[in-house]
Formats: sequence, structure tokens, C-alpha cells
Amino acid sequence: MQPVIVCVDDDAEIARTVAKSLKRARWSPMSTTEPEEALEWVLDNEVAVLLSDVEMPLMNGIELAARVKQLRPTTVRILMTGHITADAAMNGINKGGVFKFVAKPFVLADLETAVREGIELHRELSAVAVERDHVVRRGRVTGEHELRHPQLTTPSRAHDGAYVVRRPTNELVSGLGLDALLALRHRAQ
Amino acid sequence: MVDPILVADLVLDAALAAGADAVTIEPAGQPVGHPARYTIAVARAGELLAVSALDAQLAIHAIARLGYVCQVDPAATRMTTGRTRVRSVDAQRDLIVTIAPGLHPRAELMFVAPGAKQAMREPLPGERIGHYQILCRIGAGGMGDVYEVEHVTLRTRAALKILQHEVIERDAASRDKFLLEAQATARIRSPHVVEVFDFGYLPDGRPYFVMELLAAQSLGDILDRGALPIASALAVARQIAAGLCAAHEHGIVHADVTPCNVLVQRDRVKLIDFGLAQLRDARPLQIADQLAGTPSYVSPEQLQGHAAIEASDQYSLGCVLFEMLAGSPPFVGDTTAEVCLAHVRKPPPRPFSVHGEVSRELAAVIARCLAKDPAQRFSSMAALGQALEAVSCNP
Repeated sequence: MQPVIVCVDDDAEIARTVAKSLKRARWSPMSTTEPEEALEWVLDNEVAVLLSDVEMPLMNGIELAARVKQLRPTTVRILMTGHITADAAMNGINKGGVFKFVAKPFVLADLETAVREGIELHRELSAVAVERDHVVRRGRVTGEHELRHPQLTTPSRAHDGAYVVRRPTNELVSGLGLDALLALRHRAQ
Repeated sequence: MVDPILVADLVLDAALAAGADAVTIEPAGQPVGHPARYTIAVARAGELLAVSALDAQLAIHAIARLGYVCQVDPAATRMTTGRTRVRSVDAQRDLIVTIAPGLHPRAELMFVAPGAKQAMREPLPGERIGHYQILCRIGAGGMGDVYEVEHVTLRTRAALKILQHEVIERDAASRDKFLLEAQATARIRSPHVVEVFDFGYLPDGRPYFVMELLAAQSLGDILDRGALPIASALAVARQIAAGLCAAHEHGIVHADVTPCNVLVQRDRVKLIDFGLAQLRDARPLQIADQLAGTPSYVSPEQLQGHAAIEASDQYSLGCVLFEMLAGSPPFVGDTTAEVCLAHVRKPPPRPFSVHGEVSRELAAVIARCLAKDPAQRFSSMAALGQALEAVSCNP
């Protein structure tokens, strides 16, 4: 599947040009002039990179990046800007977790490099998120098992790491319908 | 409530006794909704030896147990296989368990001849070891790697140390030494010795132990930044002496007192890494072809091939105290041999401090610790502790 890139700029011409360039690079761009629409796309799709202008009416790029960071932290945020103050840059990084700023006007090749690096970071973040979810799930499953049957999850082992099978007495397992296993054990002895 | 551990053990016991090579545990018939029963089929060379039916919930938890025995990931969403050695009174085999997870999990067990030893690999975050879940690797000690872990039920954090497989390959007796370290540390109850509270083995046979987790830095790291003020050095030395005193009371000689084996957490000092420890009532360690102790702090008697004794810890503590004051140990050199030779032959330099003048009493205590002849040192670690308490920081 091609990585999905969402591009938002209130200048429709820039949004279209950037999208066209990204398409040539064989990615799947979606472009819009509305930050709210971009946010919806990010929430509804597995978006690798959000590419946003900074100065936009209604919601600026830093606010958008901050929302995306909160709601979809694995979507990498890249901001495009013609001029930026130190305060805005700090906000972008501290609040929006912005990966890169790209200066306008930009050479499309530079933008593509930034996006390519963003896609790589998105892959890494996604892999970490999957692993983290799995660790949490594993902890939950083992916790439930241990709560229900203490010691179930902690087989004790001998010096060489072997699991030593305890021999349950017939009385302990009688009435469970395991007579055939008991008989098999008995016959073998 | 019947324990599924018993059911799993019965399945393994019966299969091993009968020389079976395959067991299948699966829902009985074609389940519609939740199956009420599971079947357990035991076979040998394609011949069915026994079939039993079992309550579904009990069977599902017995499958989970077999998964834990073979270290199958309990949260896996795909079919997963694990392998471990199993031993009953009748036989020993390698057990390969394959579990198809889901609402109605299914397990296939294969028994094969015990094969080559299992590959040793490092545990990953999220894996279970005994009652603990691995969180991350936090460092390495003399013989083992140390991980931050969490108790799965109590949710308390601890540090878990696993014997490094390189050490096992290098030294066949390393398992015994590692056990000795755990036993030695667990026996000592002192606020100045790290607490050890659990021990076990991984499926590949490597031993591990669990100890308290300390948010501390090593004295070695602190000394990398320079010498300590005289009062601080004295305070740390007194606490090391107190920890060693507790160890000696239990008949344990640390044998490797170095700044890296001392952790400092605010004002509290703790001794770690009893990896070279020697118990009075344990058989002597055979440390062939390797130096027991770290060259800058090792006693002359250890260098001459004698076992470490309590007075050896006094010598090492003297070296550590010297370094805390002066910024470097009493004997330095370009080669290990040069340092070792100096420990055995060269008179120790007079201790000095970059932070002020070292009192005559303190210099005398250090000089006595660094005596070449153990008989010339203090009569006990307790006596050294008292001497350290008595000296003043001021000249």
C-alpha cells in the first residue's frame, strides 16, 4: 500500500502543486484547503505524513499539528512556512511535535526528501506502537490468567531449564472425564 | 475449582509414560457458540492410544498452561509454536507445543527426543520470566545482564539479572557462581546491601535472580567527575563498611569491592554485585586463568593466588576510599601487570585530597587498610567501621 500523505494549504494552487509532485513520487496524496477536513482524513485513514501550511485562517498549522499529535501520534507532522518566529517554531515543536519545517518557497525535491524521511519515521513509530500494544495485551492476558489460576503462568524449572512434570494423584483429577488418560498412565507403568 | 495445571501435568505425564509422540487438545465436534467440551487425543506413530473429554474452560486454561510451559506468547493472534524440555518420573523429551489462538483455541503437542540445547537469546520487552514481565534492559554486571521488570500481579518494579550466555560458554562453573552470588546477597540483611528476593531458571537453563530496583548511580560514575569532598568520602566509606560488616557477619566476603559495585542513591549507599563472593561454608571457587577482582582494588593476597578473606575487603575499601579523596586509586600504571605488582610490592602513597588536608587519623586508617600483610589490617570490618566513625574530617 502506498503511504498516504495529507497536504493542507489555504492557497489551493500550492496544495494542488504539492499533491501533484507527491503523486509523481508514487505516494498517495490527498490535498485540501481546509484544516478541519485534513484532520478528518487523518482520523479516518492511516495517514503517514501530514504536510501543512502554518498560516491559515480558522486553524493554523501548529494547532492542527497539535490535534494530530494528540489523536494520531504516529502521523508525522511537517509544516511549510514562508516566515516563522522563534516562538512559533518552539510551539510547533513543543505542542505540535513537528518533525520538520520546510521553508517556502521550496524546491519540490527538498519537500520530497522531507516527506520520504517522514514516511520512514512513520514506519518506525507504527512498529513501536504495535509492539507497545502487544506488550500491554500480553500483560493483560497473563494478569487475567494469574488472577484466575495462581501459578498458571509461572512453571517452575530444573537447573537445566527443563519443566518437571508433577504426577497428579488419581483422586485429584477424578471426576473430570480424564479416565482414559489415567488408564493410559496406569497401563504404561 | 480444578486446577488446569493438574490437567496439563496429567496430559504430559500420561503421554510421557506411554511414549506418545502427539497429543491434540481441541473443541469436541463442530462448535456452535461456545463448545461445552474439549477432547484430548493421545497418539503414538499414528495409533490413537487414548481419548478423553474435558470441560471447555478447563481445557482452554490447560492449553494456556502448556503455552506458558513452552514460552508461547499468550497474546499471539496467530498460530505460534514453542519448545522446551519436559521431564517426568518416566521419561524426558523435548515438547513442541503449537497453539492456534482464538475463542476456541486448539493445541498440538509433539514429543521428540531431547535435542541439542536450546538457543539462548536475550529476553524482549513484554516477555515473562517467572512472575515478572521484562520492561527494558538497564545494564550489565560482572556476570549478567540486568533488566527492569514488573511483577505481573503486584505491579511492583524490580531488577532482574540473567547470567550472560557468553559467561556460561567461557566458564562451565559460572552457573554455580551465579547461584552463589544470589545466595550470598539474599542472606545479608543490611540497608547497605542490595536486597535479592527471587531466583529461577529460564527455559534455556540460564539462572536469574530478582533484586530491588535502585534509582541510583554508581560511585564509579560519580568519581569519573572527580574526587569527593572529604566529608562525603568518609560518609560513603562508613556505609560501605557497614554493608561489608553485615556480609562478614553472614560469613560472606565480597571479594570485589570497587566504585562500580557501590551504588549511591542520594545519601544512601548500597553494595551490589557479589559475583565473586565467597561463603565460608561453600566449596571454594575455582577461578582458573582469570583474576578474581578488579586490578585497581584487589588485595595483594588475592593477587598471590590466595582466596579472598574478610581482610581483603578492607584492602579494597581502603583503595576505594583513597580514590574518593584523591580522584584516582593508590596504584595506577600503564598495564594491569604494573598495577598488580605495585599492590604486592610498592608502599602505598600517603592519601591526599584536592578538597583539603586529609587528617592524620584518616590517613592512618587508610594506611592500615592498605597494609600488605592482612594481619596488619584491622581485626574485623566492624573495627574498621568504628575507626572510620571515630576519625574527623578536619586535620
